[in-house]
Amino acid sequence: MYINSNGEQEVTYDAIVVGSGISGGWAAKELCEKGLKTLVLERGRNVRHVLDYPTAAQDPWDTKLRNRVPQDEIDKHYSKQSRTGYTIREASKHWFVKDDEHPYSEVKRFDWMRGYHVGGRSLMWGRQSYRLSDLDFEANAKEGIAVDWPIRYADIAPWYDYVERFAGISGQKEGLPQLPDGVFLPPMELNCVEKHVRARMREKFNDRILTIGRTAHLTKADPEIHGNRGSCQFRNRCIRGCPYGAYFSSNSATLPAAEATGNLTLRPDSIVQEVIYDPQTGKASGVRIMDSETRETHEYFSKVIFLCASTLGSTQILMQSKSDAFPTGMGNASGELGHNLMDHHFRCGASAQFDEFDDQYYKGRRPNGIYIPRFRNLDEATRMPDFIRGYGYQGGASRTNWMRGVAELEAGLGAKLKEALMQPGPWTMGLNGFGECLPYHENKIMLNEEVTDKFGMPTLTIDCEFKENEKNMRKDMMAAAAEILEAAGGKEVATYDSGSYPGLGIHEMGTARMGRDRRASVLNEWNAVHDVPNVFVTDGACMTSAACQNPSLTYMALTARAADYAAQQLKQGNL
Amino acid sequence: MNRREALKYTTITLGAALSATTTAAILQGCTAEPGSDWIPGTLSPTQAEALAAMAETILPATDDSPGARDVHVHRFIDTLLTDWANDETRQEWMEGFQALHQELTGKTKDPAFNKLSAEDQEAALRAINERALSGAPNTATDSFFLELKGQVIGGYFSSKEVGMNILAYDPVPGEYLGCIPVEEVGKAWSLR
Repeated sequence: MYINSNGEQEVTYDAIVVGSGISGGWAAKELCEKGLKTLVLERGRNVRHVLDYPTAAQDPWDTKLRNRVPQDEIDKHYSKQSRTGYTIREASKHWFVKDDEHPYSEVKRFDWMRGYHVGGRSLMWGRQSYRLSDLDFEANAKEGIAVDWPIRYADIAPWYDYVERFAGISGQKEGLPQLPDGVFLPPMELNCVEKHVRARMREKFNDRILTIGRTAHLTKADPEIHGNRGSCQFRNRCIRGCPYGAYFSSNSATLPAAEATGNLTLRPDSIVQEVIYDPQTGKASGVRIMDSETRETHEYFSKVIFLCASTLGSTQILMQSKSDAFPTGMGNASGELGHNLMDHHFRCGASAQFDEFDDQYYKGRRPNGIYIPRFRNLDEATRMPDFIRGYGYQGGASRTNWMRGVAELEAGLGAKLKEALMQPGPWTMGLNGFGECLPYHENKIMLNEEVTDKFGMPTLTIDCEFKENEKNMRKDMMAAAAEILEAAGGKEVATYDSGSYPGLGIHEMGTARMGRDRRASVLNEWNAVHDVPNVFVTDGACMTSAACQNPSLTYMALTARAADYAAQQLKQGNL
Repeated sequence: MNRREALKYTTITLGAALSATTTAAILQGCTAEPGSDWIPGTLSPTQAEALAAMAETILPATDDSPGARDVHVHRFIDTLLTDWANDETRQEWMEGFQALHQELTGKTKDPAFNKLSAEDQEAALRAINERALSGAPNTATDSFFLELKGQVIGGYFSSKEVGMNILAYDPVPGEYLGCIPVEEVGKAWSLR
C-alpha cells in the first residue's frame, strides 16, 4: 500500500513524523496535504485498515476459550498490559505489547498500556472526545501551579472545529462554558433510565447536567468529508478494529487521507533511536532508526520533525537524543524533560438500581456512555474546600445480564432460574469519576540504561503517584455521584473506590510541557522544542496541565495547528 | 493417566493390532459420555459425568430451551481447566470440586453425584445454593459452589446454541434505540 521498505540508506524528505497513532496520523495528513513529502516512521508492524482486523466479526462461541487468554500466557507476556482487566482478551490482545519484550521499571506502580503497530492506540482508544476550555488553560496561572499554558482557548478553538469536522464527533450541544460545544454529528440516544436521570437532574440541580458522551463515531457519514468511512453499526466491538471505519482511527481516516496526496511514505518496523542535532544550524537534521526486522540502522533527513510517538515514547526519544549541546537530552535546558507526568484518576463513584422502566429495553450495543461535565470549582459558588480543579463522570445505564444469576437466591436453581435469566435483568446505572491530576515536578520518567528491551535500547523507569489533591477529590467523586443517583430516584445506591494507579487511565500526559519560559518548559506555544525550532512534539507529552477531559481530541487539534505553523515557517524559509 | 495420554497409549500400542470395533470399545470405557467420542482433557470420566449432572440440575432442559448438558457446559468447563487455567487454578478447582462433590453426595469414597436420583441431586444443590447465598458462614465449599455456578451460567449463555437461537441475537444492530418495549426484543440480548 503506502510502504517504502526498499532499503534506501539515506533519504531526505520535507518532513518526518515519528509515530502513526492519533497525533502522528494527523501530522501525516496535514503535512502531506500541504504538499510536504512526508516520511512516517512507526516502530511496530503494519496494520492495513479492515484487512488486519482478524477478530472483528467473532462471536464469543467462535473460539475455544470464548475470548479468554490462558493464564500462563498472561503471566508470561501481559503481566502489566492485563492490569486494565478488559484489554487482554482473545479478540484484542494482538493490539498490546508483550511486557516481556518491552519492559519498563516502576518505582511506584504505573500501568503503561502500549500498542506498537501502525495506527497505535488510535485503534483501541475509548473515543471520548471533549474540548478543553479557558477554565483549564488558565488554571495553572490563576492558582500558581507549575507553569502557565502558553495558549488560550481562542488559539485552539478553530483547530478543534477543524479536526472535529474531519474526525466526526457525535454529541449534543449543551452551551456549557467549561465544556465548549463542538462541530457535532447527531448525538447517540440516551436510554430510558439515562433520560430519566437527565430530567431529574435538571429539576434538582442548577450546577450539573447529564449529556450523551461525545464520541469519535460517525453517526451520519458524509462521503464528501469522511471518504470511505461508514456509519456506526452499534456492535460495540471497536477495540478489535472497525471494518466499517465508523470510529476515528489513523488507519480509517488520517493515513488514507495522507496517502491520497501521493506525498506519504510509511515505514513500519522502524524504531527511532534519536533525533540528530546539527550544531551548525542549531536545528535537527533528521533521525536515526533501527529496523526492527533487520536490526540495521538507517538515517533519514528532513527540514521538520514531528515527534508523535506517544507521551512517554516521544520524551524517551528526546532523552536519547544527547549531544554536546544537549548532554541530558534534546530540549532539556530547562531540566523539565521527563517531569510533570500526569494521568486521570478514576474507578471511583457510585451505582444504583432503578425499578421503573421494567417494560423498557434497548436495541443495539451503544459504544458510548453518558457524560456529566465538571461542576466543581468553576467559580466562587462551586468552590470546594478540600481540593482544586475537578472531575467529570462517565458511565451509563443498562439492564443486567445473566451473570446476575450467580447471586440470585429467589429463583433458586433449575428451570425457574434459567427462564428468569433469559429475560433482561434490573436496570442499573453507574457513574465513574475521571479526575484531574496536578502536574507535580517529582512525577517523572528516567532513562534506564541498565535494563534494555529486546532491541538493546534503554528502557524507562517511571516514578509517579497521585497525591493529596487527587485523594481528596475522590471522596467527593463518590459522594456527589451518590447524591445524583439518589436525587434521580435510584435504589440501593452504593459508592465505590476501586483504587486508581497512574497510567491506567491510559491518558498519560506531560513530560515535555509547553510553556512561555524556555527555562521552565520544553516546548513553546507552537509545540516546537524551545531550543530546536524544527522539532515539534504534539502528542500528550506537551500537556501543561491535565484538565479532566479525555485528551485525544486536544492532541488532534494541537497537531493540526502545529503542522499548519510548521508548513508556514517552511514556506517563509524560517526552518 | 489422563484421557489424552490414555488415547495416545491405546492408539500407539494397540491400535494396529485391534479392529476398529475393539478400539472403540476400549475407548468407550475411557470416555465421559457413552455414545460420544468426547474425551475430557482434565476431568476423569466420572468427574465429567458428575459435573454434567450438576450443570444440568442448575440449568435443566425444558420444553422451550436446551439444558446445560445439551450445550456441553461440562465440556466447556473441562476445556477451561485444560487450556485456560494455570496449574494453581486447575488444582484449586479440582480440590474444590472434590470437596463439593463429597458434600453433595455425603460420601468420601467413589462419590457419584450423577447416580443420585434427580430429586436428590436438586435437593442437595438447592441446599448448598441457599446456604452460600444466605450470608451464613461462608465455607470454602460455598465459595467454590458459587464459582462453579458462575461457570455453568456463563458457559450456558455464551454457548452458540443459546447465544444464536435462544437469546435475542443481533450481531450487526445497525442502529441504537434507547427506549423500546421489552416485548419487541422478547429475550435478553445475547451479545454485550
